[in-house]
Amino acid sequence: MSERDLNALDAAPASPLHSEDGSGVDPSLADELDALLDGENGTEASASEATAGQQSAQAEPEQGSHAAAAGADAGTATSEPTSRKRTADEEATGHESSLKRLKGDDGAESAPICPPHPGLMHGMCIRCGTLVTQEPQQEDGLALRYIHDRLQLSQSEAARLRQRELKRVIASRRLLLVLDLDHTLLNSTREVELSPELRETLSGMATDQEDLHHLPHMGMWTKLRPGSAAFLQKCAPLFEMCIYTHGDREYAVAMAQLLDPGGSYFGNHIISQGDSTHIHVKDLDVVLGDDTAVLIVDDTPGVWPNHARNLIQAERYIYFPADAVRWETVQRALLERGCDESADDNCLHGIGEVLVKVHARAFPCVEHQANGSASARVDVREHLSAVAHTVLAGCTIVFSRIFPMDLAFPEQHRLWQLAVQLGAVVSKVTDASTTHVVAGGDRTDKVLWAKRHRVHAVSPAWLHASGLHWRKADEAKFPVAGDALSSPQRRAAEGVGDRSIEEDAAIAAAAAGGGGGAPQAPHA
Amino acid sequence: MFYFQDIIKEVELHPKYFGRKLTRHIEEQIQKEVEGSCSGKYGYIVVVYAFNSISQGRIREGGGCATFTVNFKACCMRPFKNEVLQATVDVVNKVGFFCTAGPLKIFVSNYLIPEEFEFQMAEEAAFVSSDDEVRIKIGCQVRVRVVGVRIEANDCTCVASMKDDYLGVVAIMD
Repeated sequence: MSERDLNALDAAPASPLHSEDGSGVDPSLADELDALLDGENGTEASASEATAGQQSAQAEPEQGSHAAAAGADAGTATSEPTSRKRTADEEATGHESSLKRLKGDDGAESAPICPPHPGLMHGMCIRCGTLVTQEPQQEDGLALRYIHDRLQLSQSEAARLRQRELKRVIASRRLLLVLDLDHTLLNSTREVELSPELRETLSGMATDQEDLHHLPHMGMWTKLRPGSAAFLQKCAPLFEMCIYTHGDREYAVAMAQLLDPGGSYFGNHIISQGDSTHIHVKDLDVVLGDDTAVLIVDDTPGVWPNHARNLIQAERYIYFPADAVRWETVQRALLERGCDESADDNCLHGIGEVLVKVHARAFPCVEHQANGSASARVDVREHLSAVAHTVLAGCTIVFSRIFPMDLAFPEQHRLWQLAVQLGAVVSKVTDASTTHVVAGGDRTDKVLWAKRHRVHAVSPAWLHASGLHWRKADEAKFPVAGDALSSPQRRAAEGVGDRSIEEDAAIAAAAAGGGGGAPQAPHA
Repeated sequence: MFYFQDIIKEVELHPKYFGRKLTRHIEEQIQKEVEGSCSGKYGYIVVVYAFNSISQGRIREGGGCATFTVNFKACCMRPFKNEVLQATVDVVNKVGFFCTAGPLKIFVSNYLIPEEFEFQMAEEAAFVSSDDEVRIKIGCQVRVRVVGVRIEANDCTCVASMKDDYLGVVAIMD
């Protein structure tokens, strides 16, 4: 070992690789390395101060300006002589000037608009690389943990990305589709929640049923909804799909693997519990898609309080008994009944068709607008409600014994609103135009009138079924319930439970991931 | 960049190793502890290259273990600001792409990808140049310039830029 190396070892050992060849090395290089090893973090604060000054001096924050141009700008804007010296003397190597150079380059990169930093990755700005740990973290930051667990974007950056995303969506003619897992595309249950007999039945069935999966490493049984594969296949060319579940990450990835063995549908677009910005609520903020180009398929409207208009509600798929108990359904779980939904006739099939229709409506319209105006906007929410309007178009509905006669604003009743959303005309009195009487009891005047005039008299479940299946349900299947019904039967007849939307959302969160989320029930 | 670095480290050894092969046990212990680790000052310690000196051991009272102060030369890898690295892309998303250069994870945000590249999702997530010739996708080799480094106890992350001369996609691995 040469003497110089020993000296270096004394001070602060740093010997660059090529010193080994014995030719000796510029001592300033070793110094610089040392300075970098020791002092790099110390330069950050002053660097960001410098950029602040440059930013205010620069009138127009132009995003595309090159580093060199920006560097020149910075040099002229700040009358600091060292700054000029840097641009002139790029090859300077001493400690002092190397720091200046680093600082200068930082400034050049970030001069257009940094700070504010558009986002942070491990506490580093994603544009200028400055460490921002000393400053208070941006409070309005949006954590995108499903992309990287230490990635955070500012709201304005997220908005910018959404705009870009919208342009891309229009160019590629593929909308975004957010899919829920549990009770929408599949149903999972934990092994411990199954009785021994059922476990045996399942083991027997698993060999000849392709969509029933046993995941022993997770202690889980999963049943894919019939038709889910066809549904995904149908949507893939029209939509970029992503999974958004309240289950944990491991579960979400395992389910994505089952649904999408080729990995071509979802890629790494899997948002799981913990990635959401709010507990028990799903929000499109983490999806990075513009609200006007995103459709959601979920069985629980309550978890999407801010995006009800993007949502297509799916009928809840309950295959395993534990979930039937959790949701207090009147009917027993499909497994216990020994049957399953039909792949050609369940709600996924209907939703698939709606999605195709919405896509078809969204895209001719984009081309049309692109020719005409610069502000081409494709609002799927409007298209979705337009498609919904066709479901009961031409029907005139009269309600009977659904709400009190003297209700001040019957228009605000859930069923009334549902009927209007589905395109029906709602009237308060029966007349020649009336096509359906939706009744809560079979002895009302209006029901008797309907029978006399051979007009359909149906239970409210007919409305819900039409809404879930996106077509007019068969009236004969939904006779008006008799007054003598017990309350659970009545509830079944009405199609929905009397739970509030919030309760629904809480159960959905608890049931996600095969009930794995149960310990975090809302009271926790 | 890679560089040789003399490092001094204390190692504790169980009495069962006190014997003829003591030195080898100490060296093995050091290798086991440091190779592949990451330290805030030196970055990743890739391999122990040579041992310069090993001090006399000091028996610790009570336990019976001995502590040795070892001075060794190690090959380290640490990213520096403004360094140009070649890396393999492993994740591409809307916000940018992630790539790795050896043990190092690098993030290139869409701000630091040249403007002519646009994100596409058609068959796979990729940034595609306007003439459709160059695609930044999973598996391709890129040359990037480090703009920010963060070294934590066990990990090291970089933010890098592709917006400069001589940077970009250099090869596609299949």
